[in-house]
Amino acid sequence: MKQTIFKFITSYSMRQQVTLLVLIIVSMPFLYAILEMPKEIINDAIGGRNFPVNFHGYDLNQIEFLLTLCFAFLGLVLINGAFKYVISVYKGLLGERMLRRLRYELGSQVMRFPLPHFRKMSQGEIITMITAEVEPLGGFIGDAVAVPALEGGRMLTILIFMFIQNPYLGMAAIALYPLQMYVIPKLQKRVNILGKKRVLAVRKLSEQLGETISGIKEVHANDTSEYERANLSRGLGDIYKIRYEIYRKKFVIKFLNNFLAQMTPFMFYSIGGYLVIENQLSFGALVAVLAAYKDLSDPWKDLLTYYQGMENAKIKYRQLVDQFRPRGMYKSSQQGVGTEVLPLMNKTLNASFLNLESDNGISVLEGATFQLNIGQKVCILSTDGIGGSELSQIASRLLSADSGRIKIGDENMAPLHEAITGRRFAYVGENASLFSGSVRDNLLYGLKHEPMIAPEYDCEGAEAQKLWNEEALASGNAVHDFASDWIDYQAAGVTGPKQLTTRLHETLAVVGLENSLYKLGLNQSIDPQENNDVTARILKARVHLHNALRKANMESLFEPFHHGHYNSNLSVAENLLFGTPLSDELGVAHLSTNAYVIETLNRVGLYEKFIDIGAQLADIMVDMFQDIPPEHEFFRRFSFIEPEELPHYVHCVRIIDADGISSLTEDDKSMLAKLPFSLVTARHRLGLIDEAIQQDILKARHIFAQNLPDHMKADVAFFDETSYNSLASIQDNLLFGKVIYGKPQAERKINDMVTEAVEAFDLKFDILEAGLEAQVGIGGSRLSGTQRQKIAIARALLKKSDLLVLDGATSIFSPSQEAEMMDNIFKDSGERGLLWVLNTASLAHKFDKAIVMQEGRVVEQGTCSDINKPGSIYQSLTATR
Amino acid sequence: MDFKDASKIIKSIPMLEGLSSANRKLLAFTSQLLTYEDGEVVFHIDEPATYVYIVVEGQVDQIVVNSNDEVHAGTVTKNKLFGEMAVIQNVPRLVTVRAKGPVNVLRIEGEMFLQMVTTSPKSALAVMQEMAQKITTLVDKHKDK
Repeated sequence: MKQTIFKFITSYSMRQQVTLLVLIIVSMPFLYAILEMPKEIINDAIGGRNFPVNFHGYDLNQIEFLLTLCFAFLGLVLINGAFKYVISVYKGLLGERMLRRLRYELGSQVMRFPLPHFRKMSQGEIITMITAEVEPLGGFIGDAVAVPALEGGRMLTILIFMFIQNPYLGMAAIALYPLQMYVIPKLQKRVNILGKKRVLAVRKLSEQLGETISGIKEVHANDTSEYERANLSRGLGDIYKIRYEIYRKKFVIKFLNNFLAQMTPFMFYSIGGYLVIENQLSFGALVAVLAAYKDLSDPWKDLLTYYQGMENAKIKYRQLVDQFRPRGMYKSSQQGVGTEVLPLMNKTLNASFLNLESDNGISVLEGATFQLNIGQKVCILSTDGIGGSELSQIASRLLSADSGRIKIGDENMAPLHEAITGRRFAYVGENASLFSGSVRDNLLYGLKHEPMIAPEYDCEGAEAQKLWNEEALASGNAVHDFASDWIDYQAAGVTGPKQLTTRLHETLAVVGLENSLYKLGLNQSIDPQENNDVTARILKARVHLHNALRKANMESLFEPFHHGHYNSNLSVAENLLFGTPLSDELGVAHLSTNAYVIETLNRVGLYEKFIDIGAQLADIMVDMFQDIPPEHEFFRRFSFIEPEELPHYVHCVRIIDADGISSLTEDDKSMLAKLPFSLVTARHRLGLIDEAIQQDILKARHIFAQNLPDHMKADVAFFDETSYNSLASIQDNLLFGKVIYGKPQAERKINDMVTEAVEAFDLKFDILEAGLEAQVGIGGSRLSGTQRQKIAIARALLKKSDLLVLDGATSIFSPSQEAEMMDNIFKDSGERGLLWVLNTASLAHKFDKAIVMQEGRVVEQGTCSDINKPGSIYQSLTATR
Repeated sequence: MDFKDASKIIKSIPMLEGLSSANRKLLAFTSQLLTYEDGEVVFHIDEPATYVYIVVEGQVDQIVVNSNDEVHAGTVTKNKLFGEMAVIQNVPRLVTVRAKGPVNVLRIEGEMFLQMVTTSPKSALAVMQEMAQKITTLVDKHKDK
């Protein structure tokens, strides 16, 4: 990164800055002309005497001359406006490009930070720096040359103009500038210092907020929300104090500035007036000078602001660059594409005299020395839990030792390109991270080193992509197309996508993810257009399932959807829609107020009946719930009425009791009509939806579907016996019905039947595929801890690395799961190497070699049988458990 | 069976007889009617106790499991409550209950049951009577031996 902001500007935007400068210089004569024009209009055209005048070969009378000059003035206004527009836009473009470049450089720099640095610098800090703090720098870079040139030029032009009109007036105009130039920066410096403080305070606040958010569980678990609030308040208080101080200082400057600026007109009126009265200056000239002076104050103000901004930008850039250049950074030559990667198999990893201290100065590794053959299965055991993890991280070059040497073959590991350490090695830690996206995206993450196959674009798309690339290049950004196929099939040991899918499923079995993915998959929805064959089989499986249920006499457990039958295990709303609502518009909460729904109900005379049923329901609910405290969970779990609505319903029930249902307002009626929609006859057993009403609802169902207005067609996906509902889950499409209420065993039995149908139509693979598309959430938060670890291990296995390092990666599993996983991984990794930081010493015998650590030293190493001697630490470790 | 029938059955249970009509309705409304086939287990011994049941149709066996031996500990018949002891004492299930022939039961939320019983003095008395009855039966059994 460049040392100072001016070096940054000159290195990356010299040509654009020069272009800008030329543009500005060209615009100056027009600026001068527009200043000159008013004088000519007033003196020659309005106050002139000798007409007709000769104007560029034409004889013009006074009016013609005046109009000509006026139009010339208008023309100049347009030209000046055009210049201003072009210059501003160009400036904006320049600033934005440089901002993009700066952000990219900073972001790219983060990728090279040594891992321990992230213990000193929080995520919140880094993010505010890259996003918020650099923003004003972009603006300044756009202005860097343009503002002094443009505003300086404008000022100079105006001043020249003034001096030509009258040197005394010119002198008067600039008389106070030296004072301003002396005083303002002095005051500004204090504001700048405060500004720096403000930046630090905001950074601290974002760091602290970030920490509170990531530790939110602890806040709840320890009832420390007030403590955290006080902390927040303290941070905000600091910022407030600084900001208020800045405002006070700023307004002092503003006041001084304004006062000094107003002193000048005072001189114009007095000196200029005197000169006009004494006939030493034309009236027109004074007006023009006054007009010019009004124009002069703007550039002058801009120049002062520019100066202030420049000071700020210089400091800010320095601060940023210092923050983004920590010691021990990876070299830029260690990253990037295009490096040849040779296999490391059978080479020796040789570590000698590794020393490492923790941040607190506690020794973690002391002269640790070991070697292993890449291809061996090696475990690291530790008597005290110290050093094993660090050793494995040093071996995978995620951490570097304070001293000592680690070599692979004859090569030092420290300067190796990440293409080698990141592809030939794989590492899984205790708390592996996932990235938001699908399970599949996460599994394949380890294969995405460089774009392999460019995406195919049509003519238009290719053109857009070309422009996109040119722009990226202009800002020094990466031009790799993110939409490319980044997957390195060869590295995964396959030839293409098809084989990769097979390999993916194989890996799922290795890490034991199949069951949970199957469950995830059942709850996914798939697009029939893309998976025509799958959805066709699901529909067949549905028929198969329904037949099987009938054959097994299990119809009493399950009620299939049928367009001609009322389904007593669905709510009234679901029975009416006979589909899945896709927008809130047709959600239960809004159904009763939807005009089309009301119209449909009215056509079969149901709306009035719904009000009636609603009244009965309200009566029952009010009776049952009026003595239950509103915050009681029974309300949430059982009531049709929200606690806050209860008084309204009490009121309705009283009116009905006293004067009958007809005396209710429309509003009350609508409230009542809302209630029956949530009724599920089989569940609520209130006997309110009798056979006749059910028939009416069926009629309404058909009318609703037939006359559905076009604008509502996207609001509902109807159930259809013969087609696949793309918005419902695979499971719902398979079942196409409801498990009956009140049969405790039904769910399990039906699930068994579903599994049977899935197998009969070979759907397991497709459901797993759908499961692979399930979103993992931010940081994998939608999955359980074990699922995340399994995905991370699978991700590492897919790389087929020469050395797989598992640093406590399986410690979240139960001992039996861990042992099973170990066998599977041994099998899957074949001849490839394994370095396993083992917490369960009893499993050590499965490895070719063990490295035993104590107090940060390697105390024993060798084949397990060699070091399994009486009195050895290895033996005591493995025997006692 | 609809909600009104459930309410009637609840009224016939001594422990719930004294409830106000609103509470009885609430209990009936929130209860679930479940069907079990012959031999299906309603709950297992040592499970946490979250529900109270009333037999609506048919009967269920109460079974104590003693080192793989099943000991029959009683039969619950129509319109009788079961599972309430563990809920009242807040202990795991004391017996396994299994359907004897097809059975319909009304399942009531344990927490709601407790709340209803504790707010009605008459019910509290009924609980005591029930307990006393059970102790008497046990003592009698002991005498026989």
